[in-house]
Amino acid sequence: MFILLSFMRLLSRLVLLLFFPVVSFAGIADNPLLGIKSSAMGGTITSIGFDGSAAFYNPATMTFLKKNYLNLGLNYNSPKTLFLMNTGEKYYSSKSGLLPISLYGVYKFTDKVDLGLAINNPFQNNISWDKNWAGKYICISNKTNVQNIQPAISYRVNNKFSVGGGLMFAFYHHQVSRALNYENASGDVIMNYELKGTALGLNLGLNYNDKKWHFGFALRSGLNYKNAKGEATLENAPSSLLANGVLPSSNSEVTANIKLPSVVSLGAAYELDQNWLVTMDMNIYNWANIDSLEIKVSNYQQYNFSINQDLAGSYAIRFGARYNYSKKLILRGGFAFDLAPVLNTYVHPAYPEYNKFIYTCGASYHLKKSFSVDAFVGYSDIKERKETKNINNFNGTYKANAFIGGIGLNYEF
Amino acid sequence: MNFNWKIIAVALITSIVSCKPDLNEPRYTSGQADFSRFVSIGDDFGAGVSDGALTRNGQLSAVPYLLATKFQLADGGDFTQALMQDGNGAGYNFISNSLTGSIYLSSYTNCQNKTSLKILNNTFDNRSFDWLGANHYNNYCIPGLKSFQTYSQFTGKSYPAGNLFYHRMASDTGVSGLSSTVLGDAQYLNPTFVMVWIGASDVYNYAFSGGIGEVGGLTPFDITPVDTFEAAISYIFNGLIGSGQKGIVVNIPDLQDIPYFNSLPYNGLKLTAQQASDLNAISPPGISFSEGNNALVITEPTGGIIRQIKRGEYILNVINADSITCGGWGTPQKPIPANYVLDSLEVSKIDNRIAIFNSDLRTAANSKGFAFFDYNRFMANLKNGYSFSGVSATSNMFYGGAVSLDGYHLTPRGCAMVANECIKSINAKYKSNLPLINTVDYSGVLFP
Repeated sequence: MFILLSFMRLLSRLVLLLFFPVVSFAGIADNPLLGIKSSAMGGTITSIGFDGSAAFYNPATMTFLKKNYLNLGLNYNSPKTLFLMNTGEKYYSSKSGLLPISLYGVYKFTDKVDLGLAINNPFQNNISWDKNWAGKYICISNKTNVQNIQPAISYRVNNKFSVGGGLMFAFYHHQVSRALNYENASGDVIMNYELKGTALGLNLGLNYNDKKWHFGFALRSGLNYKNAKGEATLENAPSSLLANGVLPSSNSEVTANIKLPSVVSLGAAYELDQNWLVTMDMNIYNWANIDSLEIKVSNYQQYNFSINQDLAGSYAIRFGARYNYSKKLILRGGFAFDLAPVLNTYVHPAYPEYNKFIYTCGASYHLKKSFSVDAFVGYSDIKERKETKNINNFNGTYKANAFIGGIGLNYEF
Repeated sequence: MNFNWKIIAVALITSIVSCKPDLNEPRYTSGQADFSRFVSIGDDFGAGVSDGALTRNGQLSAVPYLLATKFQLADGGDFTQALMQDGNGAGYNFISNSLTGSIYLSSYTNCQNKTSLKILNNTFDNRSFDWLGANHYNNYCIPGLKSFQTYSQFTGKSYPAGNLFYHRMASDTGVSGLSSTVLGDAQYLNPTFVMVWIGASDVYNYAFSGGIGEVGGLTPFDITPVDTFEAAISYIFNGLIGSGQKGIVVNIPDLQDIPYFNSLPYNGLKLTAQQASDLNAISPPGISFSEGNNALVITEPTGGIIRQIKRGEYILNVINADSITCGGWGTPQKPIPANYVLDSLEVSKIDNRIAIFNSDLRTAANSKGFAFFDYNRFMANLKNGYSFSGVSATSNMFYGGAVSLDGYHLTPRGCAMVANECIKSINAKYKSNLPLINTVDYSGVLFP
């Protein structure tokens, strides 16, 4: 009975919040669900740390953790996108699962100072379409990964307030392929672009805790890859076109300037009683000045790979709840609404993202005194959108969804 | 709390994993049109001639055929064609005045030791003109067919000098003395929807033969007289098309927009200072060269006089860049023969006649309330590029993707683009909502 009442109370609160006029986002390649516990709660984590992942999301919350943590997590994300062309054909993206692995640690260095380490993939994207699909000249596959290694430190100013910060060493790796508009008897010429870059970023956080209330603020700087480099290679190139110079006869150098957005997060959490915690986060993504991506091919600029999108700043609103079911079992649930930074008409097959609703739930189970296992599953319902301004008039309607999940090992001491 | 968690979890997970996104396709309707019996009448363009020949593959991407595949989504009927045998098909070479198979692209090393592309001929398939029997078809677009040949018995089987591409598909046996006509065969199906794309052969046979024919004649290399053309249009629109039928009319492209005539620039003779002065020393008065690009030297049609070509005059694609750089053509020693050249007088006659025919076609379309597709403008725009559904093309020779190797007829992909523009016109005119054709499914130029 008590559970039911608490649940009703929670539900009414959620409903109230839902009708509050806010919108939100998750973004082109942003990967917000990187901690198993917080992911189960819709991605809410800015105001309160749950485990080692605090080092990444809001370093300031580390000092209010009661123990040292070591967390290993494996996530799964399998977006499936449908493209309905204006010719009536339907194309599905092929299975393009992401399996980000994260490792987090928090160590109580002194009473007031905590040290942390986060190794994860804050930006990830992986999509591939059939080699002969209608958008092959625009994009066949697109795989982006940012591998982040981030040491963090936090300082407890007093019993209520703490500050924290971290340095992000972020390694960028991007692989794109598309067909060029030349073919021979066995099919199209395919150009594969591969790029790598390194960037340094900054994480700052504030945390305020007062009795049952928790508030957090976190800023993650953008990542700026000023001169990412790599090379472009060809597949199935007709020998005549290699010989007469229409196509590059050897691998070409490629360069690009890549910018990834900064994220500002605000969070609040409230302990309804000793078993119930409700959380709410807002993330603001600064995509506004990142409108285009152009991978330039040296000496062959006609084969540049470019994405022009009129991106807008965007945000996400997240809600979560945690319930201590028993000493061994903790249950979690959450919901998020993400507003895409891409304007309706500019959706690109390399990043077919759009506004989405994410529903999540999960649990933790204590195995032994210091070991527990965390898990979550979720479903991301990506709204349909009609595109009318893509390059080469490649227009149609996109619809996507994704099954997400993760499992993690938690060690505390 | 006796939930069976396992069952719930398994059910939940399977339902989520198996659920892939979906969208509903629109329902297609023919609007005010009736596609149940669709017949097309015309020449090469609608026949599906590509790479210099009529082949089975070309027929299966002919514009009327592509339209029919979409009509069928809105209660359209079958669309039969007089399909060729698989293979090289049959085409006509205006320069050698002979039958040929389709052409293909090959690469070779030229005199400057650079890799260059050239066109080679497949052999003519001698099964091509076997009579297919007393049948009727939906596609009466026939290679080389001129407007007045649609109703003339002289086109038919009793007349060996008629159109061989019609003879193979004519409905009569050819022994009675009175031949069937193209128009008569087309009428047989009592079409509800008609495509008319005629008139190009009335002008371009003259152009392809380098202007050796007459302007205002009825032999193969002539330009059709205006009153003959207009009478033919009247026959088609009042005979084949009575009242109440719907349809689409497509017009004729301009000479300047056809790669076969414009791919070699008039000043394509590139010389060094030394070469220029050497040529000046042997040149007759009125011909002079300087370092850089120079106008090519041609022979006049009469008197054997040589002169330099002017801007706005065209060299047929029989002569290509390698003929100049390696073959020495276009110089006083080796002037380009008159029948490879369209001089300014010939060009103006052609341009003038195309303008009249196009105006007649538009008038006829308007009088019947037909949809109209301006192929003339399409080809003009194609020079600067055209893109549709993620595929872009230009009218560049070889590299553009829309125009086939013969420089005049379209590739299957070019046909798909034209068919899409026709569908847009039809949808707009008759309030149908036919879907467009996926151009990536049709190939452009194949490179070696």
